[in-house]
Amino acid sequence: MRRSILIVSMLILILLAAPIAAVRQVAANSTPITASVQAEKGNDDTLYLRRFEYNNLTTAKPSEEKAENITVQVKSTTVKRWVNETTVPNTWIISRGSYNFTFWISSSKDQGVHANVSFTFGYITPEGRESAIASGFARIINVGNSIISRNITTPPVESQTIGSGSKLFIKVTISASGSSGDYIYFYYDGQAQPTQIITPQISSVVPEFPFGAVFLPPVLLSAYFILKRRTIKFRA
Amino acid sequence: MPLLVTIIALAIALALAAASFMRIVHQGAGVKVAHLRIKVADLWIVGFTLKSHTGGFYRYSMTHNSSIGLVSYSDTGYIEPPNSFTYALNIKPEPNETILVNIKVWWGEQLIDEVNHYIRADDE
Repeated sequence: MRRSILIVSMLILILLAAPIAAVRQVAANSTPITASVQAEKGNDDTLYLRRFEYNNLTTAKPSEEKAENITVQVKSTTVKRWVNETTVPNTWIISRGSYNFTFWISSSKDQGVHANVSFTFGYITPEGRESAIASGFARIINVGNSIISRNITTPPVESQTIGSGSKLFIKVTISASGSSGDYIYFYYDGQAQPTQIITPQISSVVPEFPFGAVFLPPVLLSAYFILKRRTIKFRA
Repeated sequence: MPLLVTIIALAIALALAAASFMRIVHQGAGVKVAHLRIKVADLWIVGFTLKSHTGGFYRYSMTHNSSIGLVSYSDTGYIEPPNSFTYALNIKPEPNETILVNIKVWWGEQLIDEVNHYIRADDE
């Protein structure tokens, strides 16, 4: 009877070893061991809107002297999306902080053409779903025909967790108002117009080896057999 | 001694089950919208942060009356816990101008929050 109780107890403990290890893993995720993802992100947390084969969001600064531009006619709206080529390998943590979007803009007329610019920064899940983290909106009154830079900022945003297989993106929406026949020009990917987003620090989570799940069951079994042998010897 | 081990094992199992149950209850706690209104130099940042313990689709709209007319913007999105979504409108009112900003937030099809902000350049 006592032996069977002992065996049952040990089995319960062994069965509990895996959940305990899992709980430990969750706890480890909540206070992750992080490493800066400099290789993917360059020297700081700046991502540039580039052109290449499709609209890329890269850490490399624009190399072209002449910027690309998007022409938006008055009373119309244009939406464009730029995607980072790097797929999140494990998990990325974006620290708490503000997001700053800087862009360059001009209009076809000196006065009377206004622009609404908004950005949405987030990640595309492996299933292809856009999950937004932060969005900002600004209205520029009388844009003017000289190229000017503007900034949209957010208040501090909570820390974000981006799962494996996701990709960062930025979506920009531009609309213009004023007299018919006028235009807004939105510039990016130029040495003098490096339209960009500065994010809080992005770190990579280093996965923890599940020592508990692997080693605890054999340790408990060994302890059981050692105790059993000692009990038999003691009785003998 | 074996009885004590059994009791300890059962107590641990019970504690783990209770923790799982509490986590499930906590997940169903719902969606939270926290509004924000900050002044940085002459710039006003008005918006909200949306947070939910469960994944889901949301929609929001923003309208404001600037000196050149009504401006509106709306968008939809998906939120993945434990992450949040923050929206920030950047505005600079003209001297003596009052800008009314209306923000509405829907969770799925349900309107869960609506707020009006009155923004003046000389407000603190």
